[in-house]
Amino acid sequence: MKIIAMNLPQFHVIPENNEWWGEGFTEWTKIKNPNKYCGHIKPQNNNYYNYLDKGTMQWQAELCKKYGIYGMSYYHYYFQGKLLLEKPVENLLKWKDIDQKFCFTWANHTWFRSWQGKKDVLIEQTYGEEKDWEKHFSYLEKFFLDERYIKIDNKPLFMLFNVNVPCIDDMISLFDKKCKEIGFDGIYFVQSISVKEQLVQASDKADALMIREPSFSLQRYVLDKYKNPFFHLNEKLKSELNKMLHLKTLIKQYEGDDLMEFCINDMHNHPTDKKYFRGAFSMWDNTYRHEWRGYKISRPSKSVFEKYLRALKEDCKERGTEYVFFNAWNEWAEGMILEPEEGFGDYFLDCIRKVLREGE
Amino acid sequence: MCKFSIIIPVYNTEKYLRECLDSVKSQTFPDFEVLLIDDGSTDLSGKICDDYAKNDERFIVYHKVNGGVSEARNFALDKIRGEYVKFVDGDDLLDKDCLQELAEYIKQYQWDVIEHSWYTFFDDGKREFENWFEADYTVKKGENKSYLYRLLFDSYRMGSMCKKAVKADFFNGTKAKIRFDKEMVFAEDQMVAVEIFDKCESVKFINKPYYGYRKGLQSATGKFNIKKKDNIKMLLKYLDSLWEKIYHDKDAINSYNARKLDNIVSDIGYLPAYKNVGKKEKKEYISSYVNDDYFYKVLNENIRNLSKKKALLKYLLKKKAVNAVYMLLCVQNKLK
Repeated sequence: MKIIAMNLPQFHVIPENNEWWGEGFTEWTKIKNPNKYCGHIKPQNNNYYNYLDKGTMQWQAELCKKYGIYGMSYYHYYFQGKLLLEKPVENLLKWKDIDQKFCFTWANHTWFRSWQGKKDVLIEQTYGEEKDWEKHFSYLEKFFLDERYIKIDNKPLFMLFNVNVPCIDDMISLFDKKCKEIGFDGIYFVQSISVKEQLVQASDKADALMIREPSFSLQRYVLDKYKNPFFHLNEKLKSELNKMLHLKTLIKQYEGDDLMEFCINDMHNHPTDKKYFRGAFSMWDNTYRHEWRGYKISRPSKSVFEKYLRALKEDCKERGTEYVFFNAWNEWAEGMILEPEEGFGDYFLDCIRKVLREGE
Repeated sequence: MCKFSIIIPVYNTEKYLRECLDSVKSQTFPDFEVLLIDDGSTDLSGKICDDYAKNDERFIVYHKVNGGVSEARNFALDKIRGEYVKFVDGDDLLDKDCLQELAEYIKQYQWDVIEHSWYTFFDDGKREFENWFEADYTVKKGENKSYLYRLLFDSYRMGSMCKKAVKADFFNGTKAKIRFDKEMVFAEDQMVAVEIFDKCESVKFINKPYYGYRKGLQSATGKFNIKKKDNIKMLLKYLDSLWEKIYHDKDAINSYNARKLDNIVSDIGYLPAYKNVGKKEKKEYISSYVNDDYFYKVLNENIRNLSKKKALLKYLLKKKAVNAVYMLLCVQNKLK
């Protein structure tokens, strides 16, 4: 089992974020100023790192090596020529001595800000036409050609977050052709699926799908629990009440252990007939961002998390797929982390290392 | 005032003492004192201590009437001048870079406790590595300690005083005046370790194996003593009193019960090897465990994820099948 961890580069200051969210905004801003709804996870050693520091990337590469994380999938933000949060990975390209395997996940979604009931568009995700995709490819090319960029069957691995892209078939064809022109056997295009409704939207040209967690399993888990009418009623009641009261106690909370046990038992079910990679998660808390509207998945106990990892390992072996995409390495403001924390140390990484070593 | 006070209780270890003291003497970090407590040795250990003290002013010898290792350690604790205290046993080894690296961590942050790793070795020098705590785990002042308590509960590996550097404040009355209980024959160091972890505000774990335990020796723990069981109970009850402080998840109770079972199984596991006591007394010792309410309760808990060996022992103990238990222990001992 090769674990690729989703990596959010939003740990440095950019002019756009300064303008949209306030001076000095980074992912740490929410963590350092917790609201009354969220938990209190913090990075170990007050390591509120800056992604523009070479030391940060070096440290992360070392952690990957120490605990057995295969590589990172950095979120790539590209809006028809406009890049956001691109500096860290551009630096990585220059810093060839940092032994970090990586690939891209194009976070192709519009950025919004909700403000006084209205939704402002900060920057819109558009795709343009073939000449725009060619321009996009020429930016990506140098990364694909880097030795550390992850390839499957001599094809650079490229993942797309949002499955709803009208021109996707043609885009994949173009990227595939362009990859061949620079010496690869094509592009290995993966589409990420957050909920089951998205499965039908996936392109036939995609080489594989990625079942994004915890969203995919959570949807199944909740539907399963909804068979119990009391549960359904209770959830609905809490939800309606909370729209008025905005209380922490009424926030949707799911028990990590229970959800992971569900995932373990559910793993023999195939979400799709197409080739797919499984995602994985540690925990979740997006109340940092969404306050009372968010939901939480509590920290699983180590034994259950290890059981979950073993099930993923077994699943890889059984289906002959090598990769698992871990959500996430460092999404602190959504409580999805693998990085070491204050008070808990390397809680999740420790389990990963342990399970990967078993049977060696 | 010096950075480290190294306390070494010495009792009849002439064979290994020089190697031990050399390992301390050759530390790359020079700022330390060594308190050699000769606990009434009847061999050449006392003289060896005198030799080292004569040639190196950092080594200070005290010759005492024999009073046991706890009393020796307590005696030294009244005399330390260092900022941090470290304990070394007279037949073990300390890695030469140990103090240097600890000093560097201390320079970065004034940790209350630094917990490092260890290895075991044989007389021929061959090593068995045990790089247990691989995590880069820290707790800084003001940070949440609940997970630290879990680590303390789940395993007794944090109980040794030889794998730590502890601020002298915990012994000289500034933060606490912790001493070893003379009345205990077993786990007296674990009691101290628990108290330290309970009272400390910052800890750093590092995974370097700085301390070497010599294997294959008859040590204080190697002699049979019926008080061991009561001392184990004392330790566990102390931990019980701290139960609220640990990080609670679904595993917590099971982990703790598994640890308690480990304490029992480990203790009776030594029985076949004791040479100074008869079979009848050994079986009576096992009986005293199963007839003790506290331990019997542990044996009746449903403990998950046990190895087959342990599960069988637990079952037999629960059924009070003392003869069967003893037989099984003898077989296991032969297979070791």
